[in-house]
Amino acid sequence: MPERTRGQTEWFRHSRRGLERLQEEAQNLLGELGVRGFRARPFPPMNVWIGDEAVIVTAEVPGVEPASLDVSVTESTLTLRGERPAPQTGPGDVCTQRERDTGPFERSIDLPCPVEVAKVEARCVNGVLTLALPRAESDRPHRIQVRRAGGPQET
Amino acid sequence: MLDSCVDIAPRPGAVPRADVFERPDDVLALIDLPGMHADDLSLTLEGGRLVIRGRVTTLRMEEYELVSAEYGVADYACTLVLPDDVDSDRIEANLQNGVLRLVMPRKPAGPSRRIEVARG
Repeated sequence: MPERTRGQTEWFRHSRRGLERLQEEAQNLLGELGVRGFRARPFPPMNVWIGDEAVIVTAEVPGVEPASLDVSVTESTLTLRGERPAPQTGPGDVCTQRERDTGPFERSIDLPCPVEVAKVEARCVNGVLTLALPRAESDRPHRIQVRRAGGPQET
Repeated sequence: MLDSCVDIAPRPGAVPRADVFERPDDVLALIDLPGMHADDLSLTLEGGRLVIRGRVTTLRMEEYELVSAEYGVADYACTLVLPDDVDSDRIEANLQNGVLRLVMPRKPAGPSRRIEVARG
């Protein structure tokens, strides 16, 4: 590889890494200042699964009272709203470590397929929310019978 | 020696997020352990350290396909080094909604003692 091209590639790689690090540090700083929306990790973290009959969504919501969780579903979106109470501190308390997100949260995700809103089931145990969202009937995969071409005619 | 090391996929985050507050009379720790049931959690004191271990269970998702994952489920393990003046006999632990709350009272400071200096 010509010397000049390699130099440029090196520079690009270094500068990209530097830029990523700068972005990460900026996010951390803003996160520390309590600016919402800038945290690298959205709350609550969610996993989405899809099956023939339903979409399953799980979310980690430790410290959230299940009754205070607001779950709303449209045909194509899921929105979670709630609040994680911050630890109450008094004068003389020194915080030596703070890693948990607290305060009000609201998060919407797009669902991978249309769901039947009226039949959604939700369960929240030990700080994990599990939602079963049945797929809209018309959207479920259906087996299609493949007929053999040129076979005996049906009467 | 490095040639014999094998790359494996690391297990997803097993160190839980924690908040620690040093208060005048005690130390308060709040640890996120989503999915943890009290029966599966073990707290042991080893030397001046509190060792927290827990197994979590998760749903079997064999008939499902993963669309997106932002977190992994793994057993938890973490160690808290306790300050010297924590009274380890009076530590209180409470697990609710997947949050472990630890209150570790401090031993009251003893009366000051005068130390005699030997001559010679």
